[in-house]
Amino acid sequence: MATKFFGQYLLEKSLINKDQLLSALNEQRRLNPKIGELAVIEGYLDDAQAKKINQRQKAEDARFGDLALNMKFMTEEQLNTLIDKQAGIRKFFGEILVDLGYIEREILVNELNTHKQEQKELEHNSQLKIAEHPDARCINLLADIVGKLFTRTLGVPATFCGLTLSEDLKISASRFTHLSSISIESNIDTTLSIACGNGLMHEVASRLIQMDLSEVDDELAWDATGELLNIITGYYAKDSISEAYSYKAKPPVFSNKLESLTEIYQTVIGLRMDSELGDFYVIISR
Amino acid sequence: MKGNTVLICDDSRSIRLITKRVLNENGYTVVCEASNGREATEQYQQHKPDITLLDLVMPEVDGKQALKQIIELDPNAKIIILSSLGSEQDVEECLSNGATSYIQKPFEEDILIRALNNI
Repeated sequence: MATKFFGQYLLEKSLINKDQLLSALNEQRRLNPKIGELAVIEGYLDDAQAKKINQRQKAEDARFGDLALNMKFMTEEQLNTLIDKQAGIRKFFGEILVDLGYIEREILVNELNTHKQEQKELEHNSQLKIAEHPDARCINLLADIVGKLFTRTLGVPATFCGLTLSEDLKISASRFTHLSSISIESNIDTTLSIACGNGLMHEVASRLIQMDLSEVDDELAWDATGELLNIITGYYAKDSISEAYSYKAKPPVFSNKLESLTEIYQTVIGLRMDSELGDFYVIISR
Repeated sequence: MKGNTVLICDDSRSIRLITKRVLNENGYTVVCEASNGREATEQYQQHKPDITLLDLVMPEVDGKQALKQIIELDPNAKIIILSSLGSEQDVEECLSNGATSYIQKPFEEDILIRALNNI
């Protein structure tokens, strides 16, 4: 069992259904404007400046507000006003579910407490598991890179939720029907993979290419997911392989056979990741 | 007059689509596309683009080999590497072998256009 965001937790417990979850997420996006959107509404930024900051975010791991200050598009006072404004109108996911009539308040409060407690325990166990693992450095590095690159390239964060090792991965990740893998040849040959569902791949393509979701075909969804993995691999190889060794990465290979990883490689480490677009695994195999 | 025709070589259709959009929006004309190094060399010979955007990790003939082949054909070729790889060794190797510039993916639109405009 891995950590999960509250909506998914309620879905798994059948307290809300998939349509309600999606509709509440849409409502949450509608009701909780981003700092950039507020800045344009308030007239602190024009559309061109906001676009420039969004573009810069793709290349730098920085928050919108911090970049706006660095680029001298806004003053600190303006940013603080926006942050206060955002906090004032912010609506939490649970409140939205209640407002939409999808769940009763009393049940929500109970489930929220249970969820918080479970997450705390899971995070604690997860950290223990990583700390004990001989590949702790690589795992932390990959989780960090995936989290940051998701935000930069797709505009949504991805968070590390836990580890699943070798044989267990076959069971835990069996619902993920798509596997994209890239091999890195170096002093220690390594393969990085993303295991995910069809829906997440289409979302990745839509956001990466800035194309309407309905226009994304399966081939393009595969391609974009492979390209995202390609970018992740570039950063991972750069930071994980000592400068003393050279490396060569191969183009992505697509399959739907997750079990092939555990059959081929001795060490298979699955990092369960969660994002607004869905959950997925990134896998280190050696 | 400064040339504005571009060859995009990347095995990813997604990246070709994104790059083409950015270039079109900024006054450049994509005259041909290639999805591996062999095609890039062929397209280069055929279209003689002003600028070539070249990925490194590709099937068949990779970008580093294509870079050498294109420079051999045309020592004045203007080639910008656009790759997910970004180690010091990769950058140094490509620039030494004739690349004009090197941009690591994911790229910022402004940085790509600046690199093109600087040619």
